[in-house]
Amino acid sequence: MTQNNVKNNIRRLRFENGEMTQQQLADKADVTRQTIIAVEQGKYSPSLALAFRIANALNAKIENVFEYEEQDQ
Amino acid sequence: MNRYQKLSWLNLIVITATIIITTAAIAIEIHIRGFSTYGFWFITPLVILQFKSYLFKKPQGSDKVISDERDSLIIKRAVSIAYTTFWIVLVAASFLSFLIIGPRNSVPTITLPLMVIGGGLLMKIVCSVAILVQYAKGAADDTE
Repeated sequence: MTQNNVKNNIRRLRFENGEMTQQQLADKADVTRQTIIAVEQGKYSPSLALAFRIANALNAKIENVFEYEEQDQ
Repeated sequence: MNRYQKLSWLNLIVITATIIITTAAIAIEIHIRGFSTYGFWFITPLVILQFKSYLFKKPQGSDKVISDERDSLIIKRAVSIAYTTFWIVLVAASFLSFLIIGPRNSVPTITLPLMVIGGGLLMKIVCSVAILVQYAKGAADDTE
């Protein structure tokens, strides 16, 4: 049995983009800061559209922002 | 704290205050007159809270996002939990009444509207608590 797990590199990419704050990223992605916090911590999986908006805001490809890990149980 | 958290806290405070005040008023009236007609005061928060949509709104000219897809998902989940709880409590209360009071006894007709009002209050409380719990679980580390 496998368990799906989506990880992200948002925090690292924010700091690589001129130390962008969570609020600045939220404004660019058109969401609230709370949502960016939840996505960064892996507590919320964004929709495909939001994932693309976050990637665009970080000037990165979506596969560099989000990583899909399959864990065998 | 975002708009939905503030509205949820408002729901809980108004409903709790109404329950305390109405229960006290009923107890006092029963003590004085032997019966009470204040049961319908429990509907007060359901009426007052209809106007909550005018509260905590986005200031005009502000381009800050107030609500996004995650907020919509949290509210949908909270409403679903509230409806499920309502049905479970309604079914349990109906069968418990039948088992405790018996099939051949009767209840006052005021029981039915009070059940509806009580159900409405229960749904508001459960929905508000569900919203606050979901936001609390998602915001453990609110730092830059």
